[in-house]
Amino acid sequence: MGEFITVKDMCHTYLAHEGEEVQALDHINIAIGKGEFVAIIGTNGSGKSTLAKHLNALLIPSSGQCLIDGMDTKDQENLWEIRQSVGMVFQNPDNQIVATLVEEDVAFGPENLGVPPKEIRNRVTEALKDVGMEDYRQHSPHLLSGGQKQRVAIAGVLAMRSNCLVLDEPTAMLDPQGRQEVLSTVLRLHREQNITVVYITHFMEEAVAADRVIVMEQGKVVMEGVPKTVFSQVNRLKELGLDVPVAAEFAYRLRQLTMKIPEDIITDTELVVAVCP
Amino acid sequence: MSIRLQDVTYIYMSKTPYEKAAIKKIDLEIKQGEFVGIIGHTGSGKSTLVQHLNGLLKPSSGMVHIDGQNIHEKGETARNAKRSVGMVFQYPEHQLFEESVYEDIAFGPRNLGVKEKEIETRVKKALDFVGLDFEKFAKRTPFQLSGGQMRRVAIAGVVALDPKYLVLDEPSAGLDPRGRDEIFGQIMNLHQATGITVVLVSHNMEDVARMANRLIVMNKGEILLDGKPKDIFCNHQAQLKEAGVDVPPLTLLMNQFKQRGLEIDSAVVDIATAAQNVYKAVRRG
Ligand SMILES: Nc1ncnc2c1ncn2[C@@H]1O[C@H](COP(=O)(O)OP(=O)(O)OP(=O)(O)O)[C@@H](O)[C@H]1O
Ligand SMILES: Nc1ncnc2c1ncn2[C@@H]1O[C@H](COP(=O)(O)OP(=O)(O)O)[C@@H](O)[C@H]1O
Ligand SMILES: [Mg+2]
Ligand SMILES: [Mg+2]
Repeated sequence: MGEFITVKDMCHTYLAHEGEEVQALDHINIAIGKGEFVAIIGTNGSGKSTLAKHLNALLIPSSGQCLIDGMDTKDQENLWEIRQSVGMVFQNPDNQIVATLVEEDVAFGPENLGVPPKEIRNRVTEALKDVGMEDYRQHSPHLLSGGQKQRVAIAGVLAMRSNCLVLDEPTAMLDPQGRQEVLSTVLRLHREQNITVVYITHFMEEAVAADRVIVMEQGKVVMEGVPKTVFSQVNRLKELGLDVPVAAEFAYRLRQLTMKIPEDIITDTELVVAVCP
Repeated sequence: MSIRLQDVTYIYMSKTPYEKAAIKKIDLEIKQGEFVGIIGHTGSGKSTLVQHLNGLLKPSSGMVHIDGQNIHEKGETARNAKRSVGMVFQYPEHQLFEESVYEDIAFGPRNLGVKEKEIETRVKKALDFVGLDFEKFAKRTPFQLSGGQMRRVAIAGVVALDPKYLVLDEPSAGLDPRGRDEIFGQIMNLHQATGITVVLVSHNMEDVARMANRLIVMNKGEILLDGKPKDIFCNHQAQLKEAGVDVPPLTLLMNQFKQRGLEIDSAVVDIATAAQNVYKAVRRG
């Protein structure tokens, strides 16, 4: 697995009021492989969105380096290629809609790239199919549910032929069903099309689905590993102001009540089997 | 003392081909001192409903009274009645507009005629309520904050109004886990200490189940269920499913234990008690 994202000793400082500086990223080192699915969790203000904005060169490092498929985000000439290969999906589904029909919305990106109309039509068809929204081609995006809107936003990224999706709390505004729709769509694209995924979330149950979890705190990476290693550290995560999936906390409580439950349980099924073999 | 909706229907884009009745013939009384949770599928009409509680939307038909006052009459008393309701919107950025966090939170109380000295106290208290450090955040621009920080400022702005009725539409979206717990804890404390009436719209069933003493389930613009949260989660799971509402993750887990033959009370809303129940059931064999 080659590296797709390489962040080296990166810092980001914002200029806030009256010239005061806010250091949002503090010497970050991250490597994400091609086709990897990485979840990022961390408290409010820990720097997740700032990091995400570096991944498609919406921001450039104050110091250090951010390489996307080997391209330095600092070099102006790489800008278009980086923006095309890394697609972003944000929290508020309503702010991302640009057109009055679903198909126009998905076509917006490739149109801007100057892709020929026939090719655009094919891409739109394919992208909508990939996110399970082909029946909504001619619908008005404003009348869709939040989960459907987010899937249309993802289709927009696919139509750009991006091979990396960066999602910044894509499910924060959604109900449980919408959340499930979005997460399973992302997981499927990751599995079937080998899309590299960076998924920021406050829902620990979603982060469990990733190949790897990165935990941020005050602009630094403070924990990193497969979900099992990260989420079995119940105390450490709670100290950080984070949480663990219900099953992990339940298992932790049972252990405190002196039951013999394996340390690495993070899903309901694992827990139920461990308790009632 | 109460907010009372009588036969309220609201139609978006009335008299166009896109006409949509978002809520239909709603009769509802929210009494002072209650903690009401509202859940329901996206589009079921929750946001439309709560925007009637402070007169932000005017019913297409029907009436809204706050403490006996029809809020859609003209005049000072109707205006004051509406002002007794503080509302945190679903999208916090729609609620922020001042240059600094301090000014943003001070705006509401100042409008109510609160004195400058008292305002500073209120701003400090409100920032503390949402877990933001006054020194660090008072001078910051609200639009240059992280998503969760913005959400906190929006909540602080409404808390600083010291409203009689506090309405929150999905306030926890974008908050980190501790922030969510702490702010909900603060709301609970406020409710218990001052008897403030709280209406909370939330996707998070666990939060609603834990905090509210009355739960309203919306489905397709109508009230499907109205009762005690525990009763609804335990005895109306089929109707919840029909309304597209999921039962809390903890209830699901407890159901799985039951299916495996554990004799447990699945009507619990906190993990500590649930774990105790499972532990005892396993020991009984
Ligand atoms: N445009 C900006 N100007 C100045 N400071 C900013 C700006 N955007 C963010 N910050 C600050 O940078 C820090 C990191 O913010 P960031 O948005 O990356 O956090 P986050 O981890 O995404 O938080 P959340 O969970 O609340 O979304 C915070 O302290 C925030 O106040
Ligand atoms: N500004 C609007 N214009 C047109 N239709 C709307 C508007 N806001 C909401 N609706 C429609 O009204 C219905 C109820 O929406 P809403 O009250 O936002 O539900 P909820 O908050 O439960 O998700 C939905 O069908 C929605 O599409
Ligand atoms: Mg963010
Ligand atoms: Mg809503």
